[in-house]
Amino acid sequence: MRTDDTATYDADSIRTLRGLEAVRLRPSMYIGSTGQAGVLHLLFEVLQNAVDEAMAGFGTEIAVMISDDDTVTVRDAGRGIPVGAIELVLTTLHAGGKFGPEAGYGVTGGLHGVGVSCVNALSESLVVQVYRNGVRADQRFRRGEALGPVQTTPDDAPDGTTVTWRPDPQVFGDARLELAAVRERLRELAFLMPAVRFTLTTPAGEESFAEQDGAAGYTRFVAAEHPPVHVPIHLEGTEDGVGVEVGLLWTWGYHEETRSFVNTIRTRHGGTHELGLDEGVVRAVQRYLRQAGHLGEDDALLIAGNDLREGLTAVAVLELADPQFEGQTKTMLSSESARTAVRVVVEDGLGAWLSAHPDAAGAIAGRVLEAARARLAARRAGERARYQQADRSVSKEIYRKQFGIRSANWHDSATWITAGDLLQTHAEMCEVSDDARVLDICCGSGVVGASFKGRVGHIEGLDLTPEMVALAETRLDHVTKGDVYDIPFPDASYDLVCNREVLHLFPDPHRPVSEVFRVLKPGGQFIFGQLMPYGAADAPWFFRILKKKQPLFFQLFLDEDLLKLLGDAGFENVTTRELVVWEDIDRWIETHETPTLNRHEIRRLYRDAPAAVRRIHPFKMDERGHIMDAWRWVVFSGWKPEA
Amino acid sequence: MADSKHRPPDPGELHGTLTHDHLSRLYSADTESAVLYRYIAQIADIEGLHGASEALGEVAESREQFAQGQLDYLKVAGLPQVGRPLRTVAALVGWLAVQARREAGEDLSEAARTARAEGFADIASWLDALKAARLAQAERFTALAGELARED
Repeated sequence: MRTDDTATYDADSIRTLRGLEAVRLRPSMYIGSTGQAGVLHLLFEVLQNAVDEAMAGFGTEIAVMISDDDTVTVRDAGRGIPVGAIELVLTTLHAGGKFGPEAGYGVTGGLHGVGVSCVNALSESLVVQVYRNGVRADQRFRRGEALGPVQTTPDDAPDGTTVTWRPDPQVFGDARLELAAVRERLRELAFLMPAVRFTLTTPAGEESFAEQDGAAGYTRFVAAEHPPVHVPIHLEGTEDGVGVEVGLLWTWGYHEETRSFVNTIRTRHGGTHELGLDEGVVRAVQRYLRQAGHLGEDDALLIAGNDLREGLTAVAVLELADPQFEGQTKTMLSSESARTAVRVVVEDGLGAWLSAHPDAAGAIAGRVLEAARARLAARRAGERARYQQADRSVSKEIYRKQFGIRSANWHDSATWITAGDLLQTHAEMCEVSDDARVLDICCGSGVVGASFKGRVGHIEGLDLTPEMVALAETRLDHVTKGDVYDIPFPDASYDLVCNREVLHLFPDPHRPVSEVFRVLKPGGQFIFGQLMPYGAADAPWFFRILKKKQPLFFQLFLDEDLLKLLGDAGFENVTTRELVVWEDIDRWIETHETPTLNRHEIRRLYRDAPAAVRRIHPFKMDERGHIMDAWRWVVFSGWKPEA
Repeated sequence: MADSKHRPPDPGELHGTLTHDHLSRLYSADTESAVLYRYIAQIADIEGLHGASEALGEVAESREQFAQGQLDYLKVAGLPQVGRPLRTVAALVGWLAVQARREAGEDLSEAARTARAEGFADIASWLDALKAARLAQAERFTALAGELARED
């Protein structure tokens, strides 16, 4: 679009940006964001310079101080910036000591001289103090411009550099530092650099971060929520000039997590080193399982790579002289040498470790075999229910077993189960008298029935699973053990029947809906909530996600399907209310009924969601791969006609 | 005859020939294989067999290219599935709508009925979801055809 027909484009139009002007003009190009992440990025840039000094062997203490107004100080005990180069380093892009071998940096994580000058450009004020060879040098800056020359005075304090800055509100508005992210980074660094002690001082006090157990200790920290299968495994080696340190820990949880670092920089999107890690683990464990007699030669193929990695927390730490990354933000490593190095170190090291630790190796083998058995059981659960549907019967045992296991952490297993808005919507649609008898079918822990308390007289629960019955008894007036294909109550015995997220689990949903109709009194109300796709365009995509999560998933309902189902059963005056509940997908799929392969496939379905799906179905995937989905819930209300 | 043997083939003459039929079959085989290889590549990647995943992905990419090569000829002689030549996109979109609606109406309805009768409730539900999605796609093509006709 042309905006100014009178504008001329000639040699006078060409502008050269002076010094750090370019950074202030387009800050996001350099630090990725001018929000909270950008403020954090400034800190990480300066911190990385201190870390690079420590990695080169200079200094074992790094301190971070953050004041109330987000003025930040980073102090290291390194060699100090050469005094004659302070202004150059602070005001010039691509000026630093990490481009060649002269300064003694073996490997570095820094952005090659872009970092601290960017911080200076984007700070309202910045003060640098260097202690070096008995001299103290000070220089002050404002928005990247020096306020005067370097001032030097004799001082015999230990060598080091202190940088203090305040992020410029003109650039970052009111974005504040996220202290939790600072703590996470310092803790990471403490594990990666056992020789260095990090401190964080805030108005609330001082915290210290010092860890001695490296990558192996870090696995224990990352997987702290899950019971470990064995003591963490520590592997270390150098292959083709690439230094590799790996920690491995299998837990009894379902979650699988890999954290990888290259020269202390976290590679959140993985890359070649994580591919090598995968390959090394798969090869070493497969070989061990065969050699130790846990599998016959023919059985080996039954153990899939994802069985081996279920519940595995891995930390890979690389030192690499000239790492190649995809893109400037360094979140994905592309160096092929890293893949081979990690694979060799892990395959050889893990193989040797398993042979030398037969008890732990046996426990890991048991964990892997259990994952494989669970995967096969999940497949059989779907198949068995399917085949039995042909003769109109359903194996209650499959449902009883599955929900019995889930009852142990039922309320923590997904957001929707206890989401207040969703429960409230069910209750608000209730239009029966205050002495009404209510039946909550497939009541689970009884939260839906309990949401009607104060509006009705008596609330009865019905569930197939003894563990769920026990949970519901704490909330409802009475709970009966039984199933919805054959509700164990006489005709016309309830004023209201409710349930939520149940009908999709049945091969033949007409039967439970007919049973609900039967036990309702004439003029009685049926209220139920169901997770629904947004429309036809996201229905196949959402179907695949739900089926991969839950092998007993049988029906994806569109709105018109449920309206027809209710109409066919005889319900009238059907109304609906919709609401969105943001579901934590990582938490939702962290369950015994979802095999590891399926968990990965679910994540990929989100990652690769077609544009037609994204247009109507909102979900968020953050840079760490964490998924939040705006689930569309529809609560239906239908009435049994008066006699 | 010698001349005609050595000149580049005129795709316009393909319609209804055995070669047209062969190209259509190759197109189907290439597209089916490409999707299959990509699917297996994805699982191989998840299983940690990254070398296998890369190889399968690369072969899939090649097969997609082969399929597009078949379309270079078939677009004049008659595209697979719609049976119409591709002269302009605007002229074809309406036919794509017809084809999507036919698939949803006949093929998927019958397939869902059969699955339900055979006791495969989840597969029947999957086919119903596909039917709804294809009908929505057909509506989108119909709307697009209308827009393109107005722009003409």
